Amino acid sequence: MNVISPQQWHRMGRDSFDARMVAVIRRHHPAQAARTPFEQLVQAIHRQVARARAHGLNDERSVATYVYAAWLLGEEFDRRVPAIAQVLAERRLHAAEKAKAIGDFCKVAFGILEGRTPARSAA
Amino acid sequence: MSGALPGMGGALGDALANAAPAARQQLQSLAAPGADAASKAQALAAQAADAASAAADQATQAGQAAQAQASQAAQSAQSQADAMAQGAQGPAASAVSAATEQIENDFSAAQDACSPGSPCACNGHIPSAFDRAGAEDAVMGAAAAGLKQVAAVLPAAQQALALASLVQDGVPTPGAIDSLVAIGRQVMSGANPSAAVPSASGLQALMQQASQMRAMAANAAGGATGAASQAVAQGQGAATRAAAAAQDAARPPADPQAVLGQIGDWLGQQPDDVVRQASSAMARPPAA
Repeated sequence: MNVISPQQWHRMGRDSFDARMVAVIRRHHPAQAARTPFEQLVQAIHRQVARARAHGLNDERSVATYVYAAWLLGEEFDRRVPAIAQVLAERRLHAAEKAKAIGDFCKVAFGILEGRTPARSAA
Repeated sequence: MSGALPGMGGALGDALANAAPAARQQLQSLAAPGADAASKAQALAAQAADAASAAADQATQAGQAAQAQASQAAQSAQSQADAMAQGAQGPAASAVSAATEQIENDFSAAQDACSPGSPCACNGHIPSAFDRAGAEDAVMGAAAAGLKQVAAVLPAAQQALALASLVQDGVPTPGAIDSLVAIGRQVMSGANPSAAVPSASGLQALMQQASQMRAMAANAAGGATGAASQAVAQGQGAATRAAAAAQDAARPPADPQAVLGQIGDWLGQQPDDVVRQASSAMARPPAA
C-alpha cells in the first residue's frame, strides 16, 4: 500500500497553490507574465508566501491576496507602502481583514492611476 | 516599487508611466498611513466600494448611451455597449478587480495555504487544482531537475532523446534502432522509468516506428538474399558453360593423318566427279 508522506502531502498542496496563483497572474496580466520566466515566478511566489506567513496570513485566500499584491506592486510592497505596512503590523486586525485591506488598496490604486476612481483624503 | 523580477511590480510601473501627475499625488495620499490601522483599512474598503460603484454607474451610463445610439445603429449597439462597459474601468483596474474576484473564488479562506485537495470554504466546489500550462512547466522542470541529479540516468535519457530525434529526422541506423528498442523496452518494463522523457506514449510511437523500420530492413534483406541466389545461379550456369568450354579446350588436337584417312575412306565411297573436285581442292594451297 502506498503511503503519502507529510512532505509529499505538503508538496502537493504547495504545487496546487502555485499553479492556481500562476493561473490568476497569467490570465489577468499576460503581458507582464510573459516577461517573467516560470521558474523565477514560482520562486517569487514561494518568497511571498513566506512573507505572508510572517505577517500572520496563513489561509489560502489571504496568502493569495498578498502574493497577488506583490505581483502588482513589487516584492517589498509590505515595507514600501506605508498604509499597507501599518495595516499588516496591527495585531488587532484578523488576517482576513488585513488581506481585504491589501486587496482594496490595489483596486483603488489602479483605479486612481487610470483616472477612474475619485480619491478621498487619507483617514 | 518594482521588484527584482521583470514582471513583479510591472503592472504598477506600467500604470505609473501612463498616469497623470494628479493621479500620482492621489496615489501618494492613498499610500500614506491613517490615524490607525483599523481606520485606514475602513477607509480603503470605503474607497474600494466607491470605485466599484463608480465603475458600475459608468458601465450603466455607457450601456444607456449605447442603447440610445442603438435606435440609429441597431446592429452595432451591443458591441458598443460591451466596449464602453468594459472601458468604464481602465484595463489594469479591470484586471485587478477580475483577478481579486478569481482569488476569492479559487482560494479558500478556511484552508491553510499548503494543504491540498480539500473543498473551499463554501463547500460547494473544489477549486481547480491545476493550470495546465503551469503544471506542464512544473512537471518538465521537475523532470529535468531530477535527471540532472541522477547521474546514472542522464546518459540513458540523453541517448533516448538523441535516438528519438534521430528517428524523427528519418536517418535511422541499425544500431540506433536496436538501442532505441532496448531503451523502449526498459522504459515499458519500468526498469528505467527516468528515460521516459519524451513520455511513455511518445516512446511507444518511437518503438512502433522502430519496428516498422526493422520490418523494412528485413524485407530489404530478403530481397538481397533473393538477388544473391539469382546471382549464384547465374554464376553457376556461367561456371558450367565455362567448364564445358574448358573441357572442349582441353581436348587433344585431331591427328592429321587420321583425319586424312577418314577423308580418304569417305572419298572412296563417293562418285568419281566428287572425288575429282575434292582432290583438286586438296591440291590447292590453304588460304593465308
